[in-house]
Amino acid sequence: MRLRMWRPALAFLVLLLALTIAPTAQADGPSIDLRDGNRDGIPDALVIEVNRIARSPDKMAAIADLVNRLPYAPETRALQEKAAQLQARLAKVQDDREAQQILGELRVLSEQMMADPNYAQTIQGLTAMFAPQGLREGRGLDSVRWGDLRRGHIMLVRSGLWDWFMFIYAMWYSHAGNYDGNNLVYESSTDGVRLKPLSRWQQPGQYIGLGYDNKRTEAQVRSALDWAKDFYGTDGRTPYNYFYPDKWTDSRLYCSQLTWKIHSHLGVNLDSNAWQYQLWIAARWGWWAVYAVSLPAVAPDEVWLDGDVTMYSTGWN
Amino acid sequence: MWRIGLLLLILLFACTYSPAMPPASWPSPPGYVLSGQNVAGGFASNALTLFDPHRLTVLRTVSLPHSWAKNLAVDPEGNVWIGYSGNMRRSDNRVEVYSSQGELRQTLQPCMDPEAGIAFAAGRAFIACAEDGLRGRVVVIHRRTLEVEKDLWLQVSDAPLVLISSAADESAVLVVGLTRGPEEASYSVLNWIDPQTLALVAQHPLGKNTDIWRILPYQGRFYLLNVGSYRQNRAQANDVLVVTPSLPLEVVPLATSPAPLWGDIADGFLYAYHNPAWNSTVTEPRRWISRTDLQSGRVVTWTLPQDWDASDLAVVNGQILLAHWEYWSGDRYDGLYRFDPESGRLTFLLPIPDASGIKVPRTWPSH
Repeated sequence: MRLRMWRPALAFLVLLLALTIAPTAQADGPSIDLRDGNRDGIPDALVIEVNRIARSPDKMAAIADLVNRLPYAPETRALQEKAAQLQARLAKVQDDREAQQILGELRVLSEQMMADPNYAQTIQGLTAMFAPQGLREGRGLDSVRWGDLRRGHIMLVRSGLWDWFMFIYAMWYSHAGNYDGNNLVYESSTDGVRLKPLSRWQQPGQYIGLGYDNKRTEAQVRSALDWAKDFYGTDGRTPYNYFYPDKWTDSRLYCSQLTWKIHSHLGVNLDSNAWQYQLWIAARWGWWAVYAVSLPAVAPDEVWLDGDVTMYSTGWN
Repeated sequence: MWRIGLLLLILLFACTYSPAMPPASWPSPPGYVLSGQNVAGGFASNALTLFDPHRLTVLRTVSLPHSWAKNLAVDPEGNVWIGYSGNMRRSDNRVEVYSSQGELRQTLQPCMDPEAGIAFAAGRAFIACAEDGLRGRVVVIHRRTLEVEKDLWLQVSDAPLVLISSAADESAVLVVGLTRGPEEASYSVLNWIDPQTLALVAQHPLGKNTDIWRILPYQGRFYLLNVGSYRQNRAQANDVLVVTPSLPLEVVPLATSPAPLWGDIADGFLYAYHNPAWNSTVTEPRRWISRTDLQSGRVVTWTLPQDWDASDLAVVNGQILLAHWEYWSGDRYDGLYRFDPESGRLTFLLPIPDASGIKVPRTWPSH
């Protein structure tokens, strides 16, 4: 009950923060030219702007400036506003069914926005720029180093080129898990925290990222994994957390929140809040998403972009 | 003129339209191919394909829900049972029951993730569900009424039990799951349920490097194909565990060839498809097929192309059939294949997108 009261308050604070601290939505320059002169699939000016953000000491301001100069249709901006309202509603939901319904509406909005060619070109360009290295190098047979997988390692997955079951805020990876040894994976799915066979992760067409916590020893991570299994269970008793910004709660967990919790137990924060992800999510959903999603939540993409994680293998099954 | 045009249009429609009702002259029973494993493709091609084993033609394609469909089971009355288990991020609890001609009879919701097999005995269906991974559940359904008769929870003390596979004959229902062990290896536990009394008769740990995804009942015994045997010392390998359901439970190891995954038994021969990389951290690209004479123990193996993943194997009249699908080639190479032991070659028999499971009548026509 305490948590239910706490969630709307958190959502209100996040939105307040977004409105008051966020760089103002005034564009400083002309809108971005989305022509792709070198035909690499990424608008040339977008590459220049992203490199400018990478060098900028104030990345948030640089991201805000870029996002406001994206030549989206007014309808797309309106849909992003609507998405902000839906996210705020998600904070107040009382049951899983209602949460799933709102997430469904957000998914529909994201599809509607893709009808704007400038929007689609921008999102595809940014996704291509920030995709894991292995992807950019192309698909190789047996490129996932399953043989190096150890208990406690971090596992990330994207199902297919177009992830059909996408976590709506996924830039590249849509799901996270934790290798528990004995060919089992400890993960949180919509039916709660539980163990599943490794073979689910090894199906063809899935892009896999394997990594480890480079701040702690394997033994320390294994003990944190044991702690998590004891604390959250392996029997689905800890249900799924549809309110992604509330990563601090222990009563509900989403997939990357579970991974984050395991390593937080060791004092390692795997929520990178990486500027690449923030730029992507701001372009995808609107500036509000940086404050309402990226900063408070921990997405699978924010885990692999964290400096405390060494991604030792990425590739397609 | 317009009448002729209309007539032509009607004729064209009649020729191309796939009828909802099957024709009266179907082979009985038809062969079945399940398409249900392409998680990365969003299960867009999920289907139950009914085919004519004589002509090798598709009789009917029934679209299935876009959810992980790992198993295809045909009961003694000829009904087809399919369990669904969601995707990477969510579970499912549906089991669909189709008539032998592909009409949906009923959708059941017995338990979470019915992905560990559906077996039949004593007029009942035994649906094995992975549930939460700490413990599994077998829901017993009366086959005539489709009512739930009993819920059986399976668990082991102080360890998880992730149910993987099951099979039954009139004397026993065997359900196998993965559990924890002291070393980085796979460990399995066998559960024996009496199909008459519905009581759990015995539970038996199968030991280190055991991982069973296919159980084959044959002449009073159960042959457990152990894909985990790849890591075993060949001198003590238990590629197949032969279980006789008696008290005490008799489990006899049988060395064939490493890592059997899918298989079938026909005319005293055990045929198996081997894939050491399945559900494992082993990165071995070799795949092969074996035939074991259950009388003499003689084993013959044939090598398949590297990384050629089969998702099921069935044998009829000595012909080895394999289901195969690929993500990266579109549907070009998806379908039913025949492996010819004489030439060691694979022959593409029937194109079916995302083909992942086979059930065929025992009497396969000769060509």
